[in-house]
Amino acid sequence: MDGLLDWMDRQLGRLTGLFALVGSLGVLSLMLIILVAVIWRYGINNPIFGIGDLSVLVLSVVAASSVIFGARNNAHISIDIITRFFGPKVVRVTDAIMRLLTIFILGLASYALVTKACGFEKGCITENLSIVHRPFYYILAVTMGLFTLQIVLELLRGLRQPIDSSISDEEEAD
Amino acid sequence: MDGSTIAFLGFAALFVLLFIRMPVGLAMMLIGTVGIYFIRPPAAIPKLAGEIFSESANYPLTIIPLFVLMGNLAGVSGMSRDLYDAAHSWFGHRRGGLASATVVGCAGFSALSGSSLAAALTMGRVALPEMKRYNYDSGLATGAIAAGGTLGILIPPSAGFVIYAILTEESIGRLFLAGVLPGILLTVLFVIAITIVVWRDPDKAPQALSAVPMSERLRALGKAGWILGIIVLTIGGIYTGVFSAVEAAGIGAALAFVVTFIRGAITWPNMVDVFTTTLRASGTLFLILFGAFVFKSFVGFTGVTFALAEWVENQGFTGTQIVVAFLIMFIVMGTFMEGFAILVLTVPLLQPILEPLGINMVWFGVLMVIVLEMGLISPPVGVNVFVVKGIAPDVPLSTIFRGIWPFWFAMLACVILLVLFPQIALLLPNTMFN
Repeated sequence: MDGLLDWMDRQLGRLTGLFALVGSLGVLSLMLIILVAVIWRYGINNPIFGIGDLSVLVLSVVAASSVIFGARNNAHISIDIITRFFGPKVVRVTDAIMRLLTIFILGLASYALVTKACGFEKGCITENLSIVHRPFYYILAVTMGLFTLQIVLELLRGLRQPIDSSISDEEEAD
Repeated sequence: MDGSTIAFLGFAALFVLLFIRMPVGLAMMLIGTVGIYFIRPPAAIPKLAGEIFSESANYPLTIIPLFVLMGNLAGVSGMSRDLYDAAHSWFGHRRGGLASATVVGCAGFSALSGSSLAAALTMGRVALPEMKRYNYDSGLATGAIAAGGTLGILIPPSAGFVIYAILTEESIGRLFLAGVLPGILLTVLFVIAITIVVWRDPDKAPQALSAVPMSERLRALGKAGWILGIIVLTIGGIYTGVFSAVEAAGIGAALAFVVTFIRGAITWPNMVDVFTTTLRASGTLFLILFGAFVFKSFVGFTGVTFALAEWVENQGFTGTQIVVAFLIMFIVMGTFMEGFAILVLTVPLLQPILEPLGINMVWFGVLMVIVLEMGLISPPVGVNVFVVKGIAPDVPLSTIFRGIWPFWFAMLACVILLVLFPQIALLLPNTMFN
């Protein structure tokens, strides 16, 4: 079981790394798009048609990448006051419940992004360049799916760890 | 079950999920989706997908990764160090001058970075060894860093203002400008707080440096010229209407990139550090926003905001009374909840109550951000305090919290001044674009 979890962890790490690269290029692209838009508007006095469409779609890729990268690096904010009131045994149970609920909502979000991407084929497009939104919904769905797997991994690891070390690991992560 | 009851149950369930350490964004997403399902089942799944995509492709949110990038580049290029050196050369010779220089350095860095944590961490690493070298009291030194860091979300660019603006549909540019004068006021109040602390107990800042000659001071200021230039260009660009806030973020990041390149700091490890930090910070905010907007839709479906607004109207409260009550509530919530969590949880409920009372939402946004900053340094969960603890592991938490109180009262004074004189916040937004 541990071998399988380690393998899953490595694969998730690789995929997250890929999204980190894509997200970083996305941030760089956003900067360049805005720079070009401003230069064209003021320097050449010729605003570029549809450049805003490119910005928002690149932003959606950055958002998708950053959410999964944040998940992999414990960047998502949670409030840790339960450990002040309860001991490791209780926290282990509440953590398991929390992770199950997290898996449910992330799985649901991933499903929603695939099945309810705009409601009908080519229904949603950008304002100026008519770029179809659907593929960007799918990118978000993939990252939500990876986020789900990350939490599944954390759930299984949390359940397999001895109680004391599970809590100290959690506190370290927080 | 009526809408108000569903909303109440939703909030109760949300607090339970937050208590068991569910990430704030996901807890709001779960309660929002389940709540919408109870009220209008066919809308739940499409709303979930629609809100996630809408926020991920929300043009004004382009500001977030770009300003975070700009702040991170300022760190690796040494621009933040230059800023501290300049403040050090101008203020270092006064009693408590190193603590004042730290606060002024934090204020300058805050004008490049929208994050309180980044401001506390970046300036703390530079300033703490200096204050230790001159035997500053640990409480004063760490308190100055933790409090100075809070300027990060008041002085533009500010992640707090971006989220507030998105939630309330206010102009990001107006909110940014509304933060400038209160940011300067709070910096001055922090310096006054340091002066009073040192005046009462001179042992807290025992050694004063010898005054730096004017030529040295001007040279240090010139070295900080890059960072000051970027600040003036971005904030000045927004004020004069040359740039939108999003464009200012893009131009600022590009200029920071150029400076980093000129200084030879574009190395692979630096870039990995800069971009991974940018993605982590952006991911934190995007997930919160995904959840916040699903939750906001749920709150809208319940109609509880109308019920609350009606109740407030029937009680005959004045706008100022309501604002003060909310500010006190935020101070209390700030002792156990993270600032962004309070922001996204409460704004959708408060806005429909405040607007009919004639409250200016830009002014309220500034007050709210300052009060949330107070939470960043309030015990027991002041996030900035833990950041400072990370760079000063030998200083006990109790000492840091003791050192923070003068700054906490300085913030309270700033809030009172802003309640009494709203023009401090509203002058610049009301005069922008002439």
